[in-house]
Amino acid sequence: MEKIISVKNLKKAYKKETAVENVCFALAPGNIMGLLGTNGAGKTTTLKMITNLCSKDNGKIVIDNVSLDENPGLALSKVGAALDTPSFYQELTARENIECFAHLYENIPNGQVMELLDYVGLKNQAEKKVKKFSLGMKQRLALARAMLGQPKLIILDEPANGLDPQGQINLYRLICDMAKERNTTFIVSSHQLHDMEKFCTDILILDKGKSILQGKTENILSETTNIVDCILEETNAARRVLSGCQGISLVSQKGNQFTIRLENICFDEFVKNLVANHLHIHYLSMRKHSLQDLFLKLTGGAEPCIH
Amino acid sequence: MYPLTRFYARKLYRQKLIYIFFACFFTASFFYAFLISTPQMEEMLNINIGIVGRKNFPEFMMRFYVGTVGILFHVFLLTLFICEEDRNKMLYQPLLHGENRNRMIRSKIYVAVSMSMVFVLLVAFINYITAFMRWGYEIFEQAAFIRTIIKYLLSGIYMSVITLGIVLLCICTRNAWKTIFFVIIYLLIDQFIYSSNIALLQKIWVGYYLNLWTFAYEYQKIPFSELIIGIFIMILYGIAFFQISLYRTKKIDF
Repeated sequence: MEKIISVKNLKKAYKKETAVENVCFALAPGNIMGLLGTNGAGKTTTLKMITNLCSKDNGKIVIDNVSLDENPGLALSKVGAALDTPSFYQELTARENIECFAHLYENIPNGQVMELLDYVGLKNQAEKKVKKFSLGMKQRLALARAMLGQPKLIILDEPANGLDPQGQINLYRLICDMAKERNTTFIVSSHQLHDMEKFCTDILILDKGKSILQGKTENILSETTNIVDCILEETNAARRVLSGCQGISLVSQKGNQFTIRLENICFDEFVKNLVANHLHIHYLSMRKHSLQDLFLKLTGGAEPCIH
Repeated sequence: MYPLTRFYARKLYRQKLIYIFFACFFTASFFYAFLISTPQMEEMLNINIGIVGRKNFPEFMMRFYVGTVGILFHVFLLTLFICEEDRNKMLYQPLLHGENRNRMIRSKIYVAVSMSMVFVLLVAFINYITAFMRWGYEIFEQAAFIRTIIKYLLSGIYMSVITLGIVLLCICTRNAWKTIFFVIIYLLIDQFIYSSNIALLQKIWVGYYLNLWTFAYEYQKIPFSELIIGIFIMILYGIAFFQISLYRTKKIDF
């Protein structure tokens, strides 16, 4: 399968402190990978190593079949990036800011700058000085700048920082649209876990520089332990049935209200089991861990709050 | 011209500081030219108008620029050009658009060095304009004119080397205030070395030759041997600053 980026055993240490250790991942065209982690987990360092802004101690990065070590110029010509807080020449207009960087490319057609500004919804603000822009507008402008040269991979470091909820949704929609329409691959670092869960096809969670969870978002969420709340009649009988049932464990019981963890059994089988044992079910509901729950559990934060 | 160099040149020449500085410099030069030639000022400042005025005025004003004033102006400008860009996360932006570090820093250096040369020429132009306004054709006495132009060119070389040194400081410290601090320290050491009697240190100190040319040989022709040694030392410093800047830039973790 074609890979736009492949990262193997990435490692970086600052003096005696390890910032990133053995990070590996690969992404196909059109994928959106959410790079998650607490502050200082190594997200930005990872992104900076991919964009060659920061040297790596070990590891291999291949972008669109070009090794970053062997041909950094060619490899990075396929990458667009917006790292850190969006920064621009404040005295220049949005159009001038993008044009400054458009001059660095050889074959940018006339009008592409305005096209990009239109795409990110800033066409009407093109002649406005950047110093008058809100943070949300700057984030959009940073995305437009990252899109210069039609890169196959776009790297965004906390693009939703400082945006209001509407702005966040709009930005992520824009990213999704680009991934679908242009088959662009994205690596997005963020703390907006709910949004990441919805928009990302892949997830990589870093903790203290190490990858602690990665994979397809749907797999990650479905593979994790499911919790079922149920209210059953005949408390004692229900308890007997549940304790004899394979592949589940009883989390808690309060009267006839049971909380059960499905470990090696699917929800349908569990329900069949209850029915087969003639238990009257008053209420039955399955809960899943959200990405946030998983994140908190894995990174040793507060106890997961299950919805 | 390479697009990035053109881009940086445009960016640098948008700095208002340049225009403010040269407006101030013109005003200073103008008032100096007219004030020092009044009998009252001559008496008060104990200045011999025959020496600092007329044909010698452009050289007199050149010393005013290439000393502390010009170097401080350069350090402020270059810290805006490099350290502030670095702080605002703009320095590495070209690297995200297919540029490499070597080309990026070379472009910055080319723009900075040519700027320092252009500024020396601009200073010469301003001083000749104000001197002409005050004394007319009298300032163009051939020997003095050639001697002054050579000194301006030598100052241009010195300012270019200093510019390379400031660029290197900006890259190493990555902090505007630290760079300014080290440049002030340089100026103090420079004065100390020139006024000291440590001959060996003087011979290898880049600033010594400028002081030699502008103070020891003020309004006089510089001996050829002193000129060659000075230029040689300056070129050595320049090459060292340039190469170290390239090396350090490769190692920066943005």
